[in-house]
Amino acid sequence: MDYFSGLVQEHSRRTLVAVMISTACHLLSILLIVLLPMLRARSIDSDHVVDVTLFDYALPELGSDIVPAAVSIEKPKPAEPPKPVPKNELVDPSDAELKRMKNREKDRTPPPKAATEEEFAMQSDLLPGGGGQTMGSMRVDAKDFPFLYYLAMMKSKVSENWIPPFGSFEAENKRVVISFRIDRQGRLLASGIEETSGDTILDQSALRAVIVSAPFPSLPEGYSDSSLGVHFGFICKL
Amino acid sequence: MTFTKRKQMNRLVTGFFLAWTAVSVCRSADVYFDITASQAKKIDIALPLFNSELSEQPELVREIHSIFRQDFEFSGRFNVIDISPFFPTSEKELVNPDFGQYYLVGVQSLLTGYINQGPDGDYRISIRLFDVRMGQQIVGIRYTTPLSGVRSVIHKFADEVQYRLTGERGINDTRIAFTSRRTGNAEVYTVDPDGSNLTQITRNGSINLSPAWSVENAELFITSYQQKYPDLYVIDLADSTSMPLLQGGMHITPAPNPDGIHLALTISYEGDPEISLYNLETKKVRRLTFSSGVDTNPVFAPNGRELVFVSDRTGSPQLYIMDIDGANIRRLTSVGNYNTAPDWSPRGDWIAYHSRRDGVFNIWMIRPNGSDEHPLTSEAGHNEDPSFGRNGRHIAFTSTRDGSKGLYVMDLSGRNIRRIVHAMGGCENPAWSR
Repeated sequence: MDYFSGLVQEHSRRTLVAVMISTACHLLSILLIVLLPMLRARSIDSDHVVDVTLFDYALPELGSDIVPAAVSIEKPKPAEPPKPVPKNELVDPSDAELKRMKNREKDRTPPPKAATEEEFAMQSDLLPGGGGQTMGSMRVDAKDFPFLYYLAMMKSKVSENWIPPFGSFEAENKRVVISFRIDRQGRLLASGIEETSGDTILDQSALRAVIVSAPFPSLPEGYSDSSLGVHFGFICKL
Repeated sequence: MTFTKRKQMNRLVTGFFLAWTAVSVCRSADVYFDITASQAKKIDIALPLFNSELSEQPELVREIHSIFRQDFEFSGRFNVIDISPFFPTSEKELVNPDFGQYYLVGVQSLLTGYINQGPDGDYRISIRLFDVRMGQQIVGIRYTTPLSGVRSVIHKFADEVQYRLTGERGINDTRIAFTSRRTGNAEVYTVDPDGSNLTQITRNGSINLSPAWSVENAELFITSYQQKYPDLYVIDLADSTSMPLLQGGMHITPAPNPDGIHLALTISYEGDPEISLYNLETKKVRRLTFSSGVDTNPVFAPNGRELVFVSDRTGSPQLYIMDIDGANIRRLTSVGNYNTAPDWSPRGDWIAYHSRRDGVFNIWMIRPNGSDEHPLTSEAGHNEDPSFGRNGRHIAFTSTRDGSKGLYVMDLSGRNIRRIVHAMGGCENPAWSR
């Protein structure tokens, strides 16, 4: 046995060991790749990667001391209840501007009584693409806001403009609440993070979705207040 | 021998591992697109025939119905539900419909209308949109219009419906400008996105190129050779008067900044075309690019702070993005050796362009960060010059799929293709009003 063949034998023995270790590593990786999604699938309903879902929890009133000072969403004084609008009136296109001016005047008149506020619980099953029963996504600051089409519109527009932080495991299953206020013309008066998710990127992506979505269509004619406060919850499900 | 076998085995395992990784990556991409699709959930809208006392003109009522139906269906946001058994018959029913029966059919929104003719011959069209679930009127508008304006009024209300129910402006009440050699000269025309209202804008018998809408859609910026050189003009669409802005030399491919003050365009500096910024208020020009190659075709991002443009600085025309001050230039496209004619979506999420591969032009899309590059058209002639509609869901483009180069509109999936202008001596440079 010459020196060279010894070297070759030694070499092939080492190669064998290396190949075995390598194969073991690869098999382990494959096993992990196969098993991990299964494990995850068991813990999370993975039908949807991202969902703007509803959650039911009592939010503090906008403008109350629980809203972080930095957000400073001021609730404008409630306007005088409008004189009863003739039911289902028609607007001339040329009157639209006049009407807007009237609305502005209306906004300035001081209120005879402050509108009381209570939570408006939304029936999630009426919302297109609404989430399950356990989680909800929107709440408005109004005693009576029966304009479900308007809420559905806001929800659809904001969720379409939301680019969630894909691939960020930190953001997974975290919830951020953005609160904002819009005036009669649907313009954004103020917006801020009401409840942080602890993940800055998720917080900012949600806030940006709201800012990009504004302005919204003008508030429904039948709604008497001069502005509307909205709380919007975002949950990042991976 | 055994060594090679093991090596092969090792390679096999590695290959399997790589393939598996590829499969899992593809799988996650699929899920992502599923989500995007599921978010654009369609709204069910009931659209009865309008009531009318014009019994002698039932075709007008049917035409209004079909315009509404086309507008809603083309928007991609609505399902038009056939509810013919419930057509309202009395005027009272138009104002206070029986919402219960619509609710039972599962309709979310209802549109009713009434049309009659005033003593002056003008038509009065009253249209109402209702939220069926809550039994409330969302919006009601009465239009007074001559017969020629009926189509435009219906487009306006269709866009109003889309805005109220989705928060997004529709594309029906918009115009598409383009150039055509119908008269033998390249003149600028405008047309509705449904192909109606074709209007000739320029009549100077010269060459007119690359129309671009001003921010308020009241003016068109064009390049015109009426003084023998490619000069920049602005056309006031109210009275079709044109005014020169920049003359002498070469001033082509204008693109207004959303701020309404600046205009990006290509200006030739001693034969070298470069991107420049023109201030419409101070009338001052600032050069942005300084490469030795051709830099042309700038388009602003919707935030007005960045520009996408075409440059052949690396040998072939490719798309680049830069900041509004000319800094931070980065290459966007890398596949193919002829990528030009970019347009940035008003939503900001896509850049459309045309790419020549194997001698054929097709419309392609790419994210502003260079990812998700994919074609929208294929195997249907040459498809060129994409221009986004104002809500970023549709693209106007030219195509030779039906012979001569016509004007078409499609959605972002590359489907729902609608031919707008055909057989007009070749359409070029479409630009969609915003």
